[in-house]
Amino acid sequence: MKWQIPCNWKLAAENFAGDTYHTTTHLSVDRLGISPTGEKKRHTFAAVRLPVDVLGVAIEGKGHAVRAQIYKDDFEYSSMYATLPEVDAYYREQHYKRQRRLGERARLLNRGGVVFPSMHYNSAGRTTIGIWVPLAAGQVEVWRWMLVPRNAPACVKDMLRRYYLRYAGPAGMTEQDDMENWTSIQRALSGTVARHYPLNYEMGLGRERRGWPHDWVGADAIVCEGTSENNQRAFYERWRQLMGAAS
Amino acid sequence: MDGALAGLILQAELSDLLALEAELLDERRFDEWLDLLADDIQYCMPMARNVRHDSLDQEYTRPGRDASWFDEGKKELALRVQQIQSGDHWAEEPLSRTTHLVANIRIAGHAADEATVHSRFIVYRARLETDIDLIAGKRTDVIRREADGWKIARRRILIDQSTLTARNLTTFF
Repeated sequence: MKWQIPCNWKLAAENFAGDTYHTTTHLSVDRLGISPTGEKKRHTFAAVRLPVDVLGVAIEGKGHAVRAQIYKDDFEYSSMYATLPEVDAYYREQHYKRQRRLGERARLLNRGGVVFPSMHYNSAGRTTIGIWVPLAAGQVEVWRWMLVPRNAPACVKDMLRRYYLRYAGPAGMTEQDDMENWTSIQRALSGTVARHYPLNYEMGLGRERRGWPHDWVGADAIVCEGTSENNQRAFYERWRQLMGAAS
Repeated sequence: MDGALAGLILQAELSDLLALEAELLDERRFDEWLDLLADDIQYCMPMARNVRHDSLDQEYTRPGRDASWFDEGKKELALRVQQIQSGDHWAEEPLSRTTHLVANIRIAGHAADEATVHSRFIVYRARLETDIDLIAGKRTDVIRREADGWKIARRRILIDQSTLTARNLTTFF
């Protein structure tokens, strides 16, 4: 899937790095409930109360960022595909297979993020990878691939295909509102007044912890629990280093 | 002569239907537009690829199997309409102004209660101050005569763009 957006590539990249607070963007799609759970909200895991904490994870010095969820105690499968029993059975099996393969590390769910500078991905009920291709200061082209598990039953692949198509991209009921806002932000930033004031990315500043809440998260993982701009700061810090570096 | 006359009448009826459909969309009368769709409608807009001259059968993705811009039924289209009407769907708040030009309408075939209709379109979409999108393409429709009138039962839309230059597709084609 390829398309163009009239905004700087970094507006899109930082959204994928850490967008946990942008709920007002998606009020209209959340109200409808477009996930395969058949319930309100756009994410499969919003239909159940997953016993997880939200983490913003930045890889120190590299600019990579992860939006993660981590199971706190209870690690059981929460049925998210009530309307599709065969799909639900598949994901239940995969949940426990993954636990057996990864052990304690299976507690961490990588929901999406960026591989600095311009690769982005999602794996929150649908799996996609993509690239932001900067065309100009105010224009970016998106290259997006949607992935399905090779060995999944046809009903799972089809569910994923149709869910993704109504979720993301130019015809995606969720992503349409992200892109509209990035476009407006891009224009607002060029104003005289806007140019005089730096943007504030201080949310969660000072709450960062290293390799938290478990050692296996990694000593190079700078983690902020809950909603924060930890990830965005890490992304822009790396960008700033490279932009300021002597050639 | 009867056959030719019947053909002309059918052409006129279905051309009027497609013109009505364009009016409803441009006037944001989306609920009435949904009423023109059969309950079992398959609405597909495959994606275009740039392929070698001898691989044109792969120029467009396959509905039901590959990725498409749209590949949905009436339930999903109704959700989209609901979203447009919500007032906080930022991609359509404020609403876009569209003009759907539908032309080159031909009846490609018809049996008892169904006709296969070809058409071409240009959709001009103006948004905000100066955002203009121009999307041209072709449609193949199966239009079915039901108790309360003609309904669009299948639509396959082929747009000319491969990389989409518009940031969204918030109108219908």
